Amino acid sequence: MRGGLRKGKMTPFSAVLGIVLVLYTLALFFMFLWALVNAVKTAAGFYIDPVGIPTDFQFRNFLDAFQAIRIRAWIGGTEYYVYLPEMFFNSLLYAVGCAFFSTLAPCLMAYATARYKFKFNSVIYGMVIFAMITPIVGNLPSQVEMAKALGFYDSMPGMYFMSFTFLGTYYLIFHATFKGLSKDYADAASVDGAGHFTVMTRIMFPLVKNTFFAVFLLQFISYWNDYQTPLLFMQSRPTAAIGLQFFRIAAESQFRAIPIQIAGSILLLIPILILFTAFRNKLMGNLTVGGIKG
Amino acid sequence: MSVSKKGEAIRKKRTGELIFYCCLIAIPLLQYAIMYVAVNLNSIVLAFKSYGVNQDGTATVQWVGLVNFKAFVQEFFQAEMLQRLKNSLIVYGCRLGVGTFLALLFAYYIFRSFKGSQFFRYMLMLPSFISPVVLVMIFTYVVEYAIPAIFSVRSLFDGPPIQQLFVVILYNTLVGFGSGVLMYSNAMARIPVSLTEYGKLEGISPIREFFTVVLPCIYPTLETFLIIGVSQIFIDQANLYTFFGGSTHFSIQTIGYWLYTQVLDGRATMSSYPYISAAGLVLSAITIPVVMIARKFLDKLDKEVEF
Repeated sequence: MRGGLRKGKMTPFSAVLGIVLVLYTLALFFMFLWALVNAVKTAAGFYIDPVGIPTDFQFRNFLDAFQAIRIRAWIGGTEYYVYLPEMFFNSLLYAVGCAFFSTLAPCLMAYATARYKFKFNSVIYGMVIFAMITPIVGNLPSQVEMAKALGFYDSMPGMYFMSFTFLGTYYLIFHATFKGLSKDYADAASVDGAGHFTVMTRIMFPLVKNTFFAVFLLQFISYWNDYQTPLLFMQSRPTAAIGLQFFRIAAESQFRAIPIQIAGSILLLIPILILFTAFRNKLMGNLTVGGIKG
Repeated sequence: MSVSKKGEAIRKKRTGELIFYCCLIAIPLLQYAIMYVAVNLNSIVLAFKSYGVNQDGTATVQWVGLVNFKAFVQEFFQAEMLQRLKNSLIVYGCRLGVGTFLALLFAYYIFRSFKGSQFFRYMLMLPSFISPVVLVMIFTYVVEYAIPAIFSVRSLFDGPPIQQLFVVILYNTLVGFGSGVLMYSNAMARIPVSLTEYGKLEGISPIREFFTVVLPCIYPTLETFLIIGVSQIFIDQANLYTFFGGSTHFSIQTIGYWLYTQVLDGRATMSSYPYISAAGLVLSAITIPVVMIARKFLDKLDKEVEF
């Protein structure tokens, strides 16, 4: 018998661990609470007392964030400002598209190699393992150069193509999931005259929709939070995370901007907090990594 | 059905399967060929080139042999780069010594379902789902304004560079438990109950259970994480760009941070890219054998527990 609930008795060892975890949780709570309180302070209120309860609630900071957080961008040599609403739109396009393609690629590849027996399967499996265990440092310049040469640079479809990779842990997860499925449904559908595409889209993919959704969510969160890749590859389409990062670095010495920065960061946080709270069981579910021997 | 007809039907079926299989893998393989194979080959070619600009503004490309490699090897032994190497190793050491060890202990707490374990699991995971931009901002302002106001002390960021590096490492440790705790606790959940029950009947303490039952059982997962950690020594930026942007003092930079900012700063003209590519190849040449040795060493420690 595996898994199951293994309720342990409290011992000095577990009590010490519990205390460390309580302190950790309190530190996190304090940080988030402090941010919430200071997001609605006036600049003067923050200056006078950075830890007190605000006397004058300034909910306008959330609206001001939409105007104050802006970034300079260029399209065809023309300079213009991108404001937070447009950055959120860019974040959404970037995160949804890249998450979808980076989930679809390992899913398709895993389906092909798990369902059909061809010698090339072991080559694909080997490619994935090789990429996982071979650390390649410093190929970013080449990526930028190739992206520019092939027209992927500063282009959303280009980013989608770049994210359409089957390399990585998710291929192994999908592969194990497809291998674990019974072939009976697919065989029965084939006998009834269903083609390969119908079997894949109508029978097999619905059986892995939970895994697909969990991987998609993890990828969405990762792309939503990522600002370094779009900063490097999408100069004219800054995302909200880039906007916030630049605003903070540029306005670091300006005391009055801090409550607005915090308000902006809470706006960026809201979609992720909703997703995390709503789907926490799916996100923290049964994704397990084993060894990588061989 | 005659044998020949049956054979033809099987052949037809296999051909159909092959065509569909090729259609499925074609685009992902094309992506792999461009974004993995071609990118890495181009990285090698790039390392032997030099980009310049003519007086009329046109770009020039020159083959320069090993010049970029020699220049990087020389720079590697200069004080600044040695400091970056030292910082990268300090960051890795802290991740390994403190981060991984605490993540394993927290995962054990969740696995044994001690008080509040599900809630703590949620809290440990939460930071890894939040944008580093947001977390770093909140953490920085808490350290700069809230802590000095409460305890009447100076901001930890006001100290010498080494102190700033340790604040950054503290942040990375605090927010870095997520994936480790998730993977370790999921791996622990696969340990057969009979094994832990047997230990209980033998009267072993939780500490002994952790070291003699749990750790050997989840060793393959731990090994994977340790190997990935080694392979990222020269890639890890420790969120330095998020903390300080492009103006991080060299004495707290890591090699990963240096590589990223060089690529970012040079993207307009790309004139520095051949040099960075050469640097990347030299660093890969150091990392790959280190990873292989680490794997061999960690494999030897594996007691190959089967359950």
